[in-house]
Amino acid sequence: MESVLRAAAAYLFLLLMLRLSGKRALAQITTFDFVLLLIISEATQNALVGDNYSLTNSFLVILTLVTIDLAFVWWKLRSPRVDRLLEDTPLIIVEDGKLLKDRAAKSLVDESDVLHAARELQGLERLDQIKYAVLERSGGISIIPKSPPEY
Amino acid sequence: MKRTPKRTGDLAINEDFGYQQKEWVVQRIAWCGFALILLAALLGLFGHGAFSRRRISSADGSMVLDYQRFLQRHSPDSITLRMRHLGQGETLAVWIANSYLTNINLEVIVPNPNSTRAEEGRSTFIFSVPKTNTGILIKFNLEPEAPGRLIGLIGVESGPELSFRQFVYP
Repeated sequence: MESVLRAAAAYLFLLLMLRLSGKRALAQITTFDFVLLLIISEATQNALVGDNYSLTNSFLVILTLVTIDLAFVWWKLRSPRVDRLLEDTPLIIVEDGKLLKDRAAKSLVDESDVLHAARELQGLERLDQIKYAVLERSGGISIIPKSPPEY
Repeated sequence: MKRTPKRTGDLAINEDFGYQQKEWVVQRIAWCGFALILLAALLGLFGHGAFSRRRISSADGSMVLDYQRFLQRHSPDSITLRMRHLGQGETLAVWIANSYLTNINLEVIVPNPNSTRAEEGRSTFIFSVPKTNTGILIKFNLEPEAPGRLIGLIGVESGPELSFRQFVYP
C-alpha cells in the first residue's frame, strides 16, 4: 500500500511545485535549468523508492505513475477547466514587433529570451521582425515572423 | 468535447488572459509560501534546529534528557541521557517503554549495555557505572519507523522517569 501512496504523493507534489513555479520552470534552455532538472530527479528517487529496493516496489511505483498520468490525460480531455488548471495556457508576449513588457516581466521572461528563440527558430535578427511571440505551455517561446514586405 | 482555439488578432490561440492574471497572483502567494516553509525548516520545524531541540530533567536534577521534538521517518536521530548520583552499587538499569521502542529502530547504544532484559511493557538496559557517579552520558541512536505522534517514556529502575513527545514527519 505504501508504494502506491508514496508514488502518488511524489507525483502530485512535483506537479504542484512545477505548476506553481511558472511556465519557464520546464524550459531547460540554460545549463542552470538542466542542472535543476537533474537534481530534482535525484531527490525524487528517495520519495519514490525509500529504502525498499524490491522489484515489486519498483513495479508498483511505475504502475501508479502511469495510471495517474492516464487518469489525468482522460480528465483533461473531458474538461477544459481541468486542462487549463493542470497544463496552463499560452501567452502572447510580443505583438507586432513590440514586447508586452508587463506580461513578460510577470512570466519572468525578458527580451533576450525572445530574441534567442527568434534566432534559433526563425533566423530572425531583431524584435521588429517578429509578428507574434508566444510563451507556450511547455515553457518554450514560439515565434511567428512578419512576412518580408512588412519589415 | 472539441475546443476550437479562439482568435486573438491573426492568431488562433487558446489564450486566457483573465485566468493568467489569477494564476500569477496564486503563484506569487505560493512563492511566499515556499520561502516561509524553507525558513521554518531552517529554524527546525522539520527537525534539528532551534524549534526542535528540547531538554527535560527530572525533579531532583539527577536525570536530563536531550531529544528532538520533530523527527523524519527513517532518518537517523538520537536521544541523549545524562545522569548523576544514580546507580545501585556499580550498575545502572535504564528502561525504555515498549510503546516507544516498537515505533523506532534502535540502532546503537553508546556505551554498549552489559546486558538487556525484557520486561512487561518495557525493555531494560544495564550499564556499568563508576562508584561515585558524578555525571555519565548514554546515547541511543535510533531511526523512527512510523509517522505521526510518538510518546516516549524513559527511566531508571528505582529512580526518576521522564516522559517526552515527538512528532515524526512521513
